[in-house]
This record gives sequence, structure tokens and C-alpha cells, in this order.
Amino acid sequence: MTNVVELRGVSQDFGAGPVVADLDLAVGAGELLALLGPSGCGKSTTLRMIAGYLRPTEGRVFIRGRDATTVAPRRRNIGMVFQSYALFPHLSVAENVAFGLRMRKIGKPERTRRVGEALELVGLGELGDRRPGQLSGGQQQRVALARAVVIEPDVLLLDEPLSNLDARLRVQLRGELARVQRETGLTAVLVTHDQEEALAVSDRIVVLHEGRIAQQGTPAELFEHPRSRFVAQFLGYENVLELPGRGPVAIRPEHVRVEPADGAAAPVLGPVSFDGFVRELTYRGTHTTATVTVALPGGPVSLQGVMSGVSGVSGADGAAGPTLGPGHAARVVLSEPAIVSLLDEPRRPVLEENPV
Amino acid sequence: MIRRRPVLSLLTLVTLAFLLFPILVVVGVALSRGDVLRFPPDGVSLRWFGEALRYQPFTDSLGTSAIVAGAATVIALAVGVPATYALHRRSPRGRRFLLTVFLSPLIVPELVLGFALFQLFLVRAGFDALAALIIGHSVLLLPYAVRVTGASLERADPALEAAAAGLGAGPLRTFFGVTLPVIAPGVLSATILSLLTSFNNVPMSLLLTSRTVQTLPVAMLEYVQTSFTPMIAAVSTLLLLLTVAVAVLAERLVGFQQVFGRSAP
Repeated sequence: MTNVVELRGVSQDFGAGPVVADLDLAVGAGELLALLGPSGCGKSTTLRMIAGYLRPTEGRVFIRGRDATTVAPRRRNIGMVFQSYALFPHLSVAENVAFGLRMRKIGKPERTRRVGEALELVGLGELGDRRPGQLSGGQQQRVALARAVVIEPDVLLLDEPLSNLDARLRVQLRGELARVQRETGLTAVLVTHDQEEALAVSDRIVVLHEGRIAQQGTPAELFEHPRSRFVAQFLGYENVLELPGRGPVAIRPEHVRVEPADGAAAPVLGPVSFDGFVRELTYRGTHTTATVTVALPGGPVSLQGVMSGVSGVSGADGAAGPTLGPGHAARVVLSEPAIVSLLDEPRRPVLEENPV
Repeated sequence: MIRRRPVLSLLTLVTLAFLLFPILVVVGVALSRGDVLRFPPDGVSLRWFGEALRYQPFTDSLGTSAIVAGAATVIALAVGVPATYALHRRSPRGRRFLLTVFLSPLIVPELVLGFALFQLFLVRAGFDALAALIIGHSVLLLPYAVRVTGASLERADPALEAAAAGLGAGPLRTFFGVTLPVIAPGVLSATILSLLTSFNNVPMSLLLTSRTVQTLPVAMLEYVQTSFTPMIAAVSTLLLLLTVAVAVLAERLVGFQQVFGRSAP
């Protein structure tokens, strides 16, 4: 497979230490790659270097095999969608979409046809005469998407395109985004801090942490097998602990059951479980989660799990057993198949006393 | 309104009267039929308006004022707008210092600046008074061009220019096709402010005029030193009407923002 975008040993340093450090990245033809990470991880900086708005301090950027490191954005044939939409307020929707075609000196009949097609593609065929200011945020971002794809760019760059929209619209528009990318067959790079968004739309995810790749893989690979504490916690594995005999592992709160301690010793065989004390309860609507502090060989650890026998509807099964409150003794039961070993985390030297 | 807040209403009326009364006096005197500045006027006529429009020092200086205001505004904008753009978008070294330099004509007393320019242009370089006036006023207007358009630029999304560049527009194309239309309301405000400021300026004009070239306010000043007829009130009234007309025009052009459909308020 040919790589449409390739970064080789790319670094960016604004003077206060590297923001992106020695990054190698390849985006294949037709692929939708997500750059995922918290703010400050270097994902937007990486995108701006692909677009050409920033020149790497070190390393090379290749687009379709050509060295584009020093090529200005306007000569790169990129289609960029910004978080702020960045539509030209003084031009109509159709004129906005036509802007890139005009710059490419494409004649009026073809321009009109392609603008029409692009607006149809994003479902705004009727709104060509409106001004951006008359559209909703979601509609504006669709226009921005049409403006970026109409020029048939080598690569479509999406810089947090959904972050300014409210939650419902975000989910709806991300489906649209994935559909447009699929239908146009464009190679795309999506920058986002929203793991759910990355998981839902991308073919491959690259998780960035402090300017370096923490892990990459398909959404399923990443979600099911995070390799480090950072990636695990970023993907919602709230519990990271050192399991005696197994090294560092992670488990999601929904795979941890918290039940009242019945006084009997934890079973030696069977499910992995620990006894501890409830620190905090949080009502989540469909269930209640509990934070329980348990003593492990490496020291006390706080684990989050779902309270068993307590439904979200208060009083629905109040007779199900004793309820737990802060300070109460509780047992935490980890669902064995849901435990993920963090292969990239260094194992702490543990005294192999009594392996579970 | 009046019944609900009597004290506030009264204060408002008093303030309005305080602001408007002198203007009413000037307009009243201007309509006088007599030969002396006096209020209330002796009868009503448009006599002094006719006299004023026939009085050559006024008509000549009106032309000079218009030329100076127009030319100085164009120069101030031509220098100030690109400078502001560079200062806001390119953030060069010494940005704060440069901004201060551009705004300094607001701080330096005008008489000092006027005298410096008088020495430089009229005495040393031997410029004629019209050129000296235009250059002097340009310097005076520069802060308006820089500050007012700068405020517009700060409100505008810098991603707009990045978007234009990404779509293939060169720097000039981006500036004239995207930046300038977006900051147009700011440029318009700067233009109106500049025209009015130049047109009403006295201290600098006073120093940069010659016997043959003077601006209207300077000519008026000279006139009142020797004569005391209602003609000066008539000219003042005309000047007032012109200013009001510009203000109304500006007010009308605020709808211009809606025409341009600025998404960011």
C-alpha cells in the first residue's frame, strides 16, 4: 500500500522543549487515521505540520512520495477543516465551497457543477445562497467539509472538527464525516481528544502522549489491548493495578463488581477478588459506582467498580441486601476475562509470596 | 418613563439641554438678519449662509480641508492597515514596541508634533504647506487606523487566513479576498473617524498653514479674531451639518455589517 502522508523523524520545538519528538507516521491511501490524545500531546501540531502551516524543526514530511517539508500550504493540495469552521463570512455558502476551485482556475460551468455535488454530498444542496452566519454550527461545519473535499485534496485534514458542537450533534455529524470520507475515498487525518469519536470513525488510531506515539492500532486492538497505563486510562480503564504474579493490569469499572463483604475469607480459587473499604459512592443513573480502597502487596490502591444489587431506581429492590456506604467493608470482584495486561508497563519487582 | 423615574428623567433633560443649548444658540445666531453676533437674533434670514459661501477665505480653506482630510486618511489607512495586519498576524519581534510607536501620536502633544513637523517640512525641507499638512495629518491619523482596524483583526478568526492559504490563495489574494472584507467594518470606522479628526483639527493645522494655504478651522479662527458678524455662526452651522451627515451615514452603514453577514459579533 502506498502511503499518502509520511512523516519521518519529525520534531517540533517552539523553544520550551519538544512538542512533537522524533515522530514517524504513515497514512495509507483511503485510510482514516485518528490522532488521539489529551490537549498538549502534540496532535494538532502534527496536523499543522502535515498541512504546512508549521515547518518541522527536524525531520521530513512526504505527501504522495514527494518531499513537501518546505512546500507552502497553498501548494500542498490539502483540504483542512478547522475547529472554528473558518468559513469566509462575506461569501455565500456556494462561494465558500467554490473558493479552492477558483484558486485552481477551474472554469465556471465545472465549478458550479462540483460545488453543487459537494453540497449535495454533505446534505446542504438547498443552502448555497445563504451566508455562513445564517447557518447552525453543524451546518457550518458541513459547509467547511464540502469546501475541503471539493478540491479533491491529496489528504483531508480534520482539526477537532466536532469539538464546538453539542453532544447530540457531535454524534450525528461524526457519522456524516465517516460517510463522506468513505464515499469520496479520500485519505484523512482526524485530530481529536475524544476517544469515543476516534473509536467510532477511524480505521486506525495513533495515541500521542507528550509528542510521542504511545500506541497505535485499529480501534479494536487499541480498545481491547491497551499496552500502557496512559493509553488504558485515556480509553476509560479507570483501574490500573499491580496484580500479584501478573504484573501491571488494567480493568474497566464496568467489569468490577463491588459487594458487601460477607466476612468469609476471599476464595483462593475462582474470580480475582480483594477486600477493602468503600471510600465514595457515585450515582450514575443506570448504576452506582463505588471507589474502594484495597491493600495490595505494592501498597493501597483505589479501585472503581459497579455496586451489585443496587439498581439505579432507588428503592426498586431495596430488600436485595445490606446497602453499602462510605467506610463499610466491601469485596471487589474483578471479571477475569476483562483483565488486560499492560505489556509496555515496567513490572515492579514484587515479592512472589502467594501467587493468586 | 417620566412618571416612573422622575429624577433620572429630569437629569437627562438637564444634560441634554446643557449639551444642545450652545448649538441652538449658534444655529439661531446664524439665522440672524442683523450685522452683529447676538442672541436672540435680529429677525430670521439665510443671509449669512450666502455670505459665508461667497467668502473666499472660507471656500478656499474648505477645499484645502477636504483635500487634506481625504489624502491624509488614504495615506494613514494605506500605511496603518498593512502595519496592523503584520503586527497582529505575523507577531514580529518588538511587537509591543512597534504598537506603541504607532499609537504615540495620540500621546505626544499635538502642538509639539506640529512644531517638529513645521521645523522639518516647512523650514528645513521647504515643502509647501499643503504637502506638510497632508503629511502631518497622516501622522495624526495613523493611531486610528492602527487601533480601530486592529480591534477588528483581533475579533476575526486567524483560521480564516489559514483556510484561504490551504485552499491555494497567495498572501495578496488572502489579504484582499478574505482579511480585508472581514475587517471592512473596522476600516470603515477608521475612515470616518480619520476624516472627522482631520477636518476638525486645529493645533497641528495652525502650525502647518501658510498665508495662502489654510484649513477651514484655521480660517475660521483667523476670521473671529478680526470680525464679529453672524457669518462665523453660519459657517459653524454648516460644519455641524456636515458632521451630522457623516455620523448619520456611519449609522446607516452599521447595517452594512449585516449585509456582510459577519458571523462573529
